[in-house]
Amino acid sequence: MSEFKYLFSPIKIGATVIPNRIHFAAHMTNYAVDNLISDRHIHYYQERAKGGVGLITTEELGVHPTDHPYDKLVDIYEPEVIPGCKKLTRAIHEYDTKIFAQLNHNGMQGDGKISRLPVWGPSMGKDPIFRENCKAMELEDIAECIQYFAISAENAVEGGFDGIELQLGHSSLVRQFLSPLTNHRQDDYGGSLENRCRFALEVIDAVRKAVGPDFTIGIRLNADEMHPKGGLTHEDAKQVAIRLEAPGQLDFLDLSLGTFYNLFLVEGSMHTPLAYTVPLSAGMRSVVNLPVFCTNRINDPHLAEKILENGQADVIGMVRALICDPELPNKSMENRTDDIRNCIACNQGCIARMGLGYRLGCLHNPAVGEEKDLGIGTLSPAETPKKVVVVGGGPAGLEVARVAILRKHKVTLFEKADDVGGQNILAGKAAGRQEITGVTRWLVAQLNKIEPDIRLGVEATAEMVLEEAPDVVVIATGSTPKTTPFPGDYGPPQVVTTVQILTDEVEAGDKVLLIDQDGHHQATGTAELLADRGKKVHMITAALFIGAALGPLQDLYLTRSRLMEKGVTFTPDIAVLEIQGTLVKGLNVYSNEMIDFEGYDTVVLATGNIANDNIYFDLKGKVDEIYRVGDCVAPRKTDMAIIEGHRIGRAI
Amino acid sequence: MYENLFSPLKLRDTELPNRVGLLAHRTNFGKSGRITDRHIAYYKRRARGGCGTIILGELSLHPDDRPWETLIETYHPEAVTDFQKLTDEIHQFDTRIFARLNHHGFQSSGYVTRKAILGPSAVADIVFGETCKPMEPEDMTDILDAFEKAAVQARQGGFDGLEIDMGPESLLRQFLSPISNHRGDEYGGSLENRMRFPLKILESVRKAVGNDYTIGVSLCADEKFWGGITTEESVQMAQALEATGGVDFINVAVGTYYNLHFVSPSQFIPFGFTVDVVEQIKNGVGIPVLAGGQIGFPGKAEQLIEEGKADMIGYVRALISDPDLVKKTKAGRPADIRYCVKDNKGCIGRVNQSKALGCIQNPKIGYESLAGGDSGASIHKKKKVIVVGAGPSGMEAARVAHQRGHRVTVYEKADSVGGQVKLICKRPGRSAMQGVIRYLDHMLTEQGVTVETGVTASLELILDQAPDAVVIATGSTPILKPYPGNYGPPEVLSGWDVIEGTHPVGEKVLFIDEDGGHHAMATAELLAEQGKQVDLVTSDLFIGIELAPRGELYLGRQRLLQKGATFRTDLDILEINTGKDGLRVMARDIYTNETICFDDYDTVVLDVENRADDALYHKLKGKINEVYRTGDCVAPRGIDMAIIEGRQVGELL
Repeated sequence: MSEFKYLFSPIKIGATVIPNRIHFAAHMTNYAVDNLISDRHIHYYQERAKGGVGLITTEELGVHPTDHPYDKLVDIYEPEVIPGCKKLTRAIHEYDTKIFAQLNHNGMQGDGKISRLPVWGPSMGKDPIFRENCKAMELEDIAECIQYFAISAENAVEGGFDGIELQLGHSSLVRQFLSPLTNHRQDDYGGSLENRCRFALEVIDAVRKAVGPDFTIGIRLNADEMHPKGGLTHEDAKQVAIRLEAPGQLDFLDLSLGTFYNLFLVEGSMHTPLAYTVPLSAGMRSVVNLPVFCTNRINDPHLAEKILENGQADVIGMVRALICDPELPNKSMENRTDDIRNCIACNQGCIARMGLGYRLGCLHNPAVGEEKDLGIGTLSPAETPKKVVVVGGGPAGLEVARVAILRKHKVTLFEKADDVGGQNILAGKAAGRQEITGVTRWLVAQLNKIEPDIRLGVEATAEMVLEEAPDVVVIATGSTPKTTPFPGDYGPPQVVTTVQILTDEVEAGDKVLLIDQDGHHQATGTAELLADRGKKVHMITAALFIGAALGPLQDLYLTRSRLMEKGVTFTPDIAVLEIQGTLVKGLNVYSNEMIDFEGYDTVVLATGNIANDNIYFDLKGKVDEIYRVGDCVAPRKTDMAIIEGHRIGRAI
Repeated sequence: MYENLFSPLKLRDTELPNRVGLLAHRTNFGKSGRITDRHIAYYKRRARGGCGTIILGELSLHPDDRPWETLIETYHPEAVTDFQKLTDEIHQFDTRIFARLNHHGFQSSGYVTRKAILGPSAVADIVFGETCKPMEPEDMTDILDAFEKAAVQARQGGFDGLEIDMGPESLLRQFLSPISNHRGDEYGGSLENRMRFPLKILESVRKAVGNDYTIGVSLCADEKFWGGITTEESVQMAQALEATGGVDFINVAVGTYYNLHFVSPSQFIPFGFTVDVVEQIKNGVGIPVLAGGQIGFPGKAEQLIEEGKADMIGYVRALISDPDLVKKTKAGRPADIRYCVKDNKGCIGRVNQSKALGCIQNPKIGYESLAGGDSGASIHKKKKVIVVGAGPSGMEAARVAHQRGHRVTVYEKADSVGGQVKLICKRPGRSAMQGVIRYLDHMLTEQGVTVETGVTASLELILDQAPDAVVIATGSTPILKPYPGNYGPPEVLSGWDVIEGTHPVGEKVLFIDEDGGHHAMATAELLAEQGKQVDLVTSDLFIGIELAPRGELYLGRQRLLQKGATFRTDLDILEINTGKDGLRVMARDIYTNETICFDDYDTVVLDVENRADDALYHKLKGKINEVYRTGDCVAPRGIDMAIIEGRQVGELL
């Protein structure tokens, strides 16, 4: 019997019985090929069904040719999509899991770069991300759009889906009609709430007529736009929900929030609280009779159970939690919650890769998108168990050890520090970044179950490794910050690296200059830590703005906001030419003006790392099988460390 | 005329019919690692237009080299079949086709491959920002092997020759350049050492394809960056390449990712900026030398060959914009050429955003017919067509509709054609944009289309003519009051007001830039050039956000800053007032929520947003059977969409 009695109780949603309350909610994958469902999609979704999720909603499926904000959108209005849908739904139905299709038109939250058509919106205006003026829809456009929703719904039914979710959330034409931010129409579709709801009601009605009374239909409604300049508030959204529920054509109410203006709320990172949308679902649940779905940063079954128990939602949406660990439902059901690889909301492998146009991945789970080869049940014991020595206990080394041990190899791991985790532990010391150490926590928890031979506090030399007479050596010795990236005469304790600050090896003075060539959390997280300690921090970068790598992570807005509110100041466009003592000589890369930064007590360098590859080269040629993984190959991010660790763990 | 340009040239066993080549460039037409019909139709159209040589780029010769997804895999099981299909189509014409073999080295990332990227030394590329793995000897062997295999595949697939890439985006340049090669072994240090790996590649490729096959090299002859390759060194490189006896031509390239404005030069880089570099290489070697990078007009090309500064001319954008450039030149009709205006938005801007190649002037890019033929289907009935508005959209619609046999009259309310493009041309450095209008105006005049300027087409005027179809292309105008408050001219002006000089502008100008591109920046530059203090504010993270994909960000920002303009970002404008307290702009810092008041400016200029001029369309709708809208009066966008929609309607009528 599971400890989660609410989470694992079935629920009837319209015509559909869902075996438990966990919902793999809609999200982009970029897995489509030729705008069709791909085999990669099928393996990806099926993996989650295999892991025990009750309900899957597909990524948004495009209902009309005017909507093509990105290349890899599945065009559900085309009949060619149906065979792929059938293949997908059959694959899901091999398990006790239901699957809904999400239908959407992104409206003005797109551009015509792919479609070569004007984008549609209720009124003229442009989206802050796509920056393209839309065409204010004429009445025939509205009629055509509604008709395409209906055609798409028919295709979804034929494709074998158990239900349909209509997207009325953060990125949707229907929300643009609902919201006074974007709807300035003076006809029957704009003005009063009644008028702004008209398009939504017509879409719902047409879809209901297309699928008949016995098919499950719900909506994903924006529960609060949280826009600084007005827009739908939570109270407004409740009124919308009441109106949309009234005709009795809907079976469930899924929720989202935010807009493209505040994507950091749509895709909350570790800097947003867990379960931050619960008040919204609780609010909605108080005004409608429909089952209400709650999503966003619910990454743990205990939290999910509590929300259900409190009556704050009927179904719990999990996206990143199930990207990170497809088996979260089964592990919860079997009371193996300590085996769950919890999402750390770093957004690096999932959201950032989506934003940049790459296939969905996960920093923590190297199998995402590669389920066919790396998914559940694909790890088989090695033909010949080998003696493996791993040098370095960061994420790459730990992942090698974990996979190799599971494959029955005998592993010895040397770690020079007193504890494992490597740079992952350091990353967790930056302000607000503690959650990232979940990577190490999970790897250590898994390793502890398989009793590895881990030798802490031992800096391995080539001789020591050779003494072990290993069959295989894997070097995962990571990287260290560059200490003299610029010419000049300088060094600690005045000029130090972020690592020296994060480890408290050096205490910074009151006035700090941070040179940011990182653009990522290493720089901003260290700056914030220092600001939190009362230091006056100034950041300079050669990039166009501070936080250049944070945009795709949806961490840019809140990070800059926190830093600036804590008194941190920025000068972009500065290339550092040399450092003398604490005098930093810079050059504005555009105007070529020379600028001296002086009067600082401490200069902190976030200027990149150098691979620790000495032991690799010492050993190369001296053992038969030798590999390098992670930063000691080339200093990159945790995702590549884990991917490479995993790859070698399987290869040996 | 053009006898040099149209004289053949022999490269080893390959005879080029003329001296014009379409150089390797990205199209993003590739799918699943393969050549598509889109590629074939696109290149075939250039062959049909008389281009003597085509060099196919975008090849990936190693699975771990994938800076972007749309590359064509030379190791794909179907590669030879695909190559054969392409080369057979090209060989229907008197055109040769070469394959460019490249490895991008560290100018890449592991985002697609999920592998480490490779380079001579551990550096991070300025664009991709990912630190590479310094190559070990076995990596070199692996890549050597990949080049050999790719070369053999290309030859089997019917290519007439190869170009080995040592240009701005290549691993081999990374070895050649002291900026990126810091190796302490025999592959780094002296020029001889830095050339070792590129020469090894060349040697093994030559061995793999045999002596009866043409091989050229694209050489980065000047990195134009501190500590990089200079012509002094590159002449020696060229000589060493020639000395191998295995190189049949050198294609001279300039720039790197540090200065993308040279790699994809815009209007702000002069024509012929590579010529002095080309000339130095040409003087240093005996093998034919190709000049590319903004050569411009065919007359200039002819002159370079005549003067012995180059043997071949490479074009890219000129042949994207007009695939018939060569044919029209040969026929003595240079005025009929639709010249590239170097706007970079449709080509480089799109490609850098992972979109399929396009062109602001040529809507057919990527939509060429595989069978041939340019304009729409033949007409069933000759229609009387009225086009309202002679901006790019209306002119393109009129041009195509007339060409297809309709009777077309264009009404334009201004005294001359061109619409908003006329304003664009008045901005500093943007005069080349008039090329868009020159071509369309020239074609309409040649075809004898009736264009009535100075006529505001009213509903009555149109209905009186009883047209079969009306095309509304009335454009857009700036929103006068995008923010709350009590304000207007002469203190608060639009960017258009500034260009048209409708009101005097004060000495201290607050320029509100929500455009992020040339509209705002070049207008601000105009004011800065007049000696005014211009302070730009934007809600974006930086000024010039739209220019980055076009390789114009650096120079755009530099020009403004060097002319004394200042930038302030992150500001959301709340309100503007011109009451008794004077001119005040209230803004909010988006990140801190701090309110900021600007109250010491003489003039505020707004470049915020346009509104469609769609009144006439809505009046006509329902009163005429066929009424269409194209361009900005549908939704204010760019010239590309204006011309695409003009063409679509022209072909639909």
